[in-house]
Amino acid sequence: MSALQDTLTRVLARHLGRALPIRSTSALAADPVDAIGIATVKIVTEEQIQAIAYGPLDAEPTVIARLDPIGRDVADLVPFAEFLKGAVQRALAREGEMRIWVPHSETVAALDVLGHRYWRNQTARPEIVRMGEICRILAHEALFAGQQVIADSAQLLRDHAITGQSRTEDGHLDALLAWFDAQVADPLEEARMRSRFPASGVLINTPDRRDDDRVDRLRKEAKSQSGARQRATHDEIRRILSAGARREWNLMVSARRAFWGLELPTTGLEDLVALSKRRLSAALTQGHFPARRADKVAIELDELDSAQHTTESCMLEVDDAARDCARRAGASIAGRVVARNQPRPGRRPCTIEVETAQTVVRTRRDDKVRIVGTNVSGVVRDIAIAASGGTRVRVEILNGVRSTGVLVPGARVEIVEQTGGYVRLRELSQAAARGVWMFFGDAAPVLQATPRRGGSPLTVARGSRRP
Amino acid sequence: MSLKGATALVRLAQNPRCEVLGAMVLQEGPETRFFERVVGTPYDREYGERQSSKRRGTQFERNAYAGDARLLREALAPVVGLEPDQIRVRNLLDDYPGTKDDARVARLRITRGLLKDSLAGRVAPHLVIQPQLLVPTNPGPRAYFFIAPDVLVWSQQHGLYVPADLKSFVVRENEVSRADLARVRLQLGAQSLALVHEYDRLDRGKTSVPATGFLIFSHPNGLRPHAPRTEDLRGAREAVRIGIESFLRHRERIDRLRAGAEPYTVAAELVPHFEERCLANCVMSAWCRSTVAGRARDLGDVPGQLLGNLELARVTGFLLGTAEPANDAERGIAVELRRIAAEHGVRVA
Repeated sequence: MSALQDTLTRVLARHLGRALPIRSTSALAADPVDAIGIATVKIVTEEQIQAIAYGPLDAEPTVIARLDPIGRDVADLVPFAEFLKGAVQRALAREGEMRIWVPHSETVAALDVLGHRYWRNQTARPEIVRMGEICRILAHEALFAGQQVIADSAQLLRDHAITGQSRTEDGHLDALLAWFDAQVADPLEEARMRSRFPASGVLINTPDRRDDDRVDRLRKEAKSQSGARQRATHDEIRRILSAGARREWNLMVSARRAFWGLELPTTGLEDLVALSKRRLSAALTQGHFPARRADKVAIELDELDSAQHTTESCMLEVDDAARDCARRAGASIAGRVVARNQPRPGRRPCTIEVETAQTVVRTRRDDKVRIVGTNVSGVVRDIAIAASGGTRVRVEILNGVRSTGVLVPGARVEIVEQTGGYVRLRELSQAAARGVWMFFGDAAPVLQATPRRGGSPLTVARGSRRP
Repeated sequence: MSLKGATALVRLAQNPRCEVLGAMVLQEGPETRFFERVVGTPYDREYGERQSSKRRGTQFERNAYAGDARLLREALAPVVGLEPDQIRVRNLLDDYPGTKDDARVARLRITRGLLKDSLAGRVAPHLVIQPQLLVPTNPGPRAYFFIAPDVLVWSQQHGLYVPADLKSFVVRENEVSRADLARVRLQLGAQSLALVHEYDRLDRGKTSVPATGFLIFSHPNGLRPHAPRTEDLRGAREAVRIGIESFLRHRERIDRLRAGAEPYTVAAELVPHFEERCLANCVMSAWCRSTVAGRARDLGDVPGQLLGNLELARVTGFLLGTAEPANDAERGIAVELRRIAAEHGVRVA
């Protein structure tokens, strides 16, 4: 979406007093049968989870309030570890299908830090170590574009709708939700009022409600207390922490309701679901191995890049609004087939000429493209200004030459770039064995000058282009 | 927490065009008092560092400095180019503890002595803990900013001291949150600039202080220093320099307006520069925002840049038929807005 479109949609949302959907389909597939939720409350900067709410989404959550979150004893986290283990076992039984709702990305970060602390901790109990590993796997999966495991409710709302407030204000989940609630008469004022209290997985600490400082003080006091007084102090700590975790949980539940309330179709995401399942089940069964060596990091970057391309491609295929944006940016070409050159019907070679009213197209000669909604793909061979003032694109069809529906003059087509993900697994896997200097050397090898053949590189490239 | 030292310089660097911020830096006392005096109501939002954060930060520093800064020596040994046991440490808090100005001045005097010794080739410590530096802005009120890096590290590569700051943020796989990094880089930039000034005092510009510094974050397990992170401070140092220049300009105007009165008294006459990020780090953001209420900037920085000073009511007027576009730019906006409205099923006049 362009900056101008984003801005004017915000103006409109402010005028209407409600959030406006900016996609025509959901980027998240429907929830599997036993989707779960996790909400955390951490100690600020400490990044230690001091309260955690978890459980199935259609029931009251189980809440663990930790009296001594910075202590070495993590026995209080065992019920959560068992819960996570059970959820993972069920997911593995369904080939990696899993859905965990969280209020916002801070929860994922808190789980990741929890994972970092315990996944290689040799003194921790095995279930805690496994919990740590699962947390790291989940946080890693959350990095992939289009992943279907972690449902970050705040991000989902931001990706699918625009409110009448600034982007920075959209970062506050409670303020964001004011724009999705039909009961709220003035979402602008309501959002600003709600933003007084944090919605980022920490306790409230405003001048009139110093929950965080109070818990900190109570913990200190409890250390010098005993008996009934200590129990009362502990109860008070638990009460504040549980309320904080429940507040986060409720935000997540409201955000989930708001998201599904947009009633966007969840079809066409099968590829993304399959990729997510494959990644998750592999990691859960084989373990988490973070990339540290240069060649491994390169593979991981390729995987992330590939996920991004696959997601973009999928969105262009299924989402009209995304395609509309792409069209206006010139990344998608909507037009009509005006000519077909196919000497033998149903056989290659086959070339079509597409004319569009669009004057701005980002596609260039030799780009691989496909026709949306079909199995037809090919390569752009020429782009020229059409007699009508628009653009004329010549595409050599390489796949789907037998398609009768779209490869005929008069057919309406939409052409988008073919951006399938590609991970250079084989090449990069051999890098270590071959000691590639880019990854394992300190200096570039000295290349001997060779006589130039065939003119400049541009001339060579031009010569290799098919007419 | 008042706007003093590096915090003030970081804030000025982030929003150099804001005169209200300049007045807050000039005003004695905490920002919230400035707010209360200007607005007339108590500040009701969260403000300042939480107790738990303070405790963690203090504990992290205590761990790092314990045992003649053993953990710090181990972490910074590659920078100094010596074995940890060979590194000489001087903790100025041992000499003059506290944050009162007297203690700061005493530490400043020692720091200057150590810098002089190192330039003269005399024996000097490799790590100076809690040194004190100064950025002068005299003549005028708020004539200097005390800048206190956590550590000055003798860099073998540069043959000079460079600043290092300890932050108790947790590092995961060598990555730190971007927002945290941006702020601490500016802080380090202010320290580097102060170091430039101090070296300049000693040898009149002969020493070229590198625009580099070290950030030392915390391991996820325990409060142990992570491997230092080298930061390129060219941008941060320049941003802080621009911030100081702006402050000097603001100070001149504020002094003219207030004629000896307290800075908050002229807040209404100053020109605020509201930005989206003010919402997250300035107590006066809501007050400054009122100057752009109902205008495009109220929707954020990008809408402000795209639509300029246009009133939102005028933009929606293009849709409702209550306003007519006055030029080509407005006609373009009207066409695009009508298209978006139609997409969302909103009736267009």
